[in-house]
Amino acid sequence: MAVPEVPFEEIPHTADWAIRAYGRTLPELFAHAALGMYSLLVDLDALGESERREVEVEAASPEGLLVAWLNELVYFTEREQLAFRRFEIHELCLPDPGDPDSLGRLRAAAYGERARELRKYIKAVTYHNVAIHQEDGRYWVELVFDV
Amino acid sequence: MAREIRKQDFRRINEYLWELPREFDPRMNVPVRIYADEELLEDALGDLSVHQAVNVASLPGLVGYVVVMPDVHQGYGMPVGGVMASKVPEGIISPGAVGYDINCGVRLLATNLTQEQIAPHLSELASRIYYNCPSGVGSEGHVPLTAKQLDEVLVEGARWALRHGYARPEDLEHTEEFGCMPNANPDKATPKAKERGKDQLGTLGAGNHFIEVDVVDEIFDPVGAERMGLFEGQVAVQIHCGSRGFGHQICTDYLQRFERVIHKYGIKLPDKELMCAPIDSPEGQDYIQAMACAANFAFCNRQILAHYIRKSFEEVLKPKGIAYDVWQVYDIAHNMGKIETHEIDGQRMTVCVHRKGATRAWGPGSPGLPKKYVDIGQPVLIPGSMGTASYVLLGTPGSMAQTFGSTCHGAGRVMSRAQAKREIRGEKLKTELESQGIVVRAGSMSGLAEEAPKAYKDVSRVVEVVHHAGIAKKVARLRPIAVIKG
Repeated sequence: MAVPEVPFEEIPHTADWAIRAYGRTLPELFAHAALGMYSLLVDLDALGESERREVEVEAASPEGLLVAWLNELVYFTEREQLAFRRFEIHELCLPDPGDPDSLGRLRAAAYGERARELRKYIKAVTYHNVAIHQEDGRYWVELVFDV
Repeated sequence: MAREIRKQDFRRINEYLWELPREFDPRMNVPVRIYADEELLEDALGDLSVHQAVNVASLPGLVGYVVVMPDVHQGYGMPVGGVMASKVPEGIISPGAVGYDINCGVRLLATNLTQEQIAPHLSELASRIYYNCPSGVGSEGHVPLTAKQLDEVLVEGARWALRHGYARPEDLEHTEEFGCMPNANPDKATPKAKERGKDQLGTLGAGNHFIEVDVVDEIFDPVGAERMGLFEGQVAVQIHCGSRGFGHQICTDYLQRFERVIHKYGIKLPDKELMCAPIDSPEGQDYIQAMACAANFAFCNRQILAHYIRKSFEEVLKPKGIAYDVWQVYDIAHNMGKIETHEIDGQRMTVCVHRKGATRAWGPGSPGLPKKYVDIGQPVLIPGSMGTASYVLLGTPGSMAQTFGSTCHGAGRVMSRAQAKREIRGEKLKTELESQGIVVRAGSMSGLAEEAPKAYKDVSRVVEVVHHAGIAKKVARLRPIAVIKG
C-alpha cells in the first residue's frame, strides 16, 4: 500500500465509523488519529483553542496507549462537550516488548473549545483489529469508533 | 487478509440454518452456526460479520457453537447479532463481546387507546415526549444524581425508580431480571464511568436509539397477544436505549485493564477487541460486578424514560378528558453477559452467555419468567429500522434447545453510516416519513439520514427466519406513527 500524504482519511464500516491515520513519527500518528476523530465530530476550521486538557495514560501495548489516549479525549468530550483541534505529545514511552508486565506511558495536551454542536456521539474508541503499521518510513493505523 | 468465506464452505443443516465447521479454520474451537435464508446469508457474507464470528469461535472455553442471527452485521470484535457461551467457571468473560452499550435494550409499553383516538393528538404527544425524554449528544436528564444515589441506582436498577415514584410494581415484574441484575458492586465501577453517568439518567442518547409510537397492525398469535394485552389498532410505545456513557466507560476501562493481564492467562487473541479473562479470575469477577452495575443503570434509565412517556400522555390527554392507561408489556436486554444454565450436547451446563445484538428468548416454563408469561414464554421485542415494522415475539423450546435461549434483535445494517449520509438527505427522509403519516421529532438531520430504513435489512425477512427456524414465535407486528430521536 502506498502511504498517502494526508494526516488521516475516513474508511468504510457497516455499522460504525472508522478512520485510517498516518504519521511520520509515532507522536505524529497519535496526534493525527485524534485530529481524524474530531474531524468526524466538528468543523475543525471553526474551532478555537481556548481550552487545554492534559492527558496521562498507561497501557500494555503501543496500540493500547493509542486507544487509551483517544478514549481520554472522548471522556472530556462527553463530560464537557469539548472538541479539540491541536495536540501536543509530550512523552511517549513504549512498553518493553520483552517484558509482558511493563507498561508504556503517554503524556499529552489537547487544545480546543466547547463545541456548539457535535455531529455525532462517539461511545468509545474500540480495540477492533487495531495494529500500528510501519511502511515506507511512515506509520499508519486503522481505528473503529463505536457510535 | 483473512481467508475468503464462501457459501460453499457451509454445511446446510436445514432451510434456515447453516454451519461453518471447525475444520474451516484450525483456530476454531467450536463451529459457527448462522440462522439465515439464502439472501440473508449472502448479506452476511457481504461484510466481515462471519470473519468476526470465526474469530469469536477461536476463544478458549466455549461450548456448543457460536450462533449468528439473521440480522447480523459487522461490528468490532464480536459481530452484532452474535451469541457465544463459555463454560463456568473455567471459561472466559469478554467485555468486548458484550459491547460498549451494556444492556442496550427495548421496552414495550401498551395503551388502551386506538389509533383513531390518538390521531388528533399525535403531533402534540410526540413533541411532549421529545421534550420530556432528552436525547442527542450531550443531553442531560431530569434526574441528576448525587454520588450516593448513583451507587443506589447501580445496585438496585429499576427498583430505585420504583422507590422514587418512577415505576409501578408490575413494570418491574415485566422486565428481564425483574429490572435488577444481582452481583452489582459499585466499588467495581470506575470513577470515570460514574462521572459520565451521573447526569444521564432518563436520557435517550443518540445514534440508533429512539422512542417510537406504534400501532399494532397484525396479530399472528391471538393467545400470546391477549396475554400481553395487545389488540389490532392499539397504540403502543417502544423505547430503545441502554446504559449511556456509564456503560460505555465500564467497557472501555475494563478492556484497558484486561489488556494488562491477558498474558498471565495465556490467552491468544485473534482481535484485541475480544479481550477477555477467565470468569473465575479477579479481573473477570470484577468485570461481572461492574457490568451488572451498567445493566442496572440501563434498566433504571428505561424505567425513568417510561415514566416520562406516561407523563407525556397525561399532559396531552388529561386536559382533554381522555381516559388512558399505559402499561408495560416487557423490557429486554440485547447486549449482555449472563450466567445461565442450558442443555448443551445432552448435558446441563452453567455457562456465561454473551449476547451482543441478540435477545434473550426463554421458552415456556423457564424459571425466572414472570407469572403472567411463564406458560407462553418470554416476550421478545424486535425493533425494525426507523419507519418500518417492529415485531413482538415469544421465546420457544427451540430457542432453548438451539441458541442458548436467544434470538435476533432487530433489522441489522447493510449500508455504512458514511454511505447512508452521502446518499440520503435527512430533511428529504423526514418529508418522506411524514408523507407516510409518521410524525418525526429529531434533533439531528444527518443522524436521521444515517438511520434511514434503506441502510437496514428487511426486518420482516429476519423475523420470518427466526420464526421458521423455531428460535422465536411471531405474536404481533407494530407499525410506527411517530419517531422521536436525538
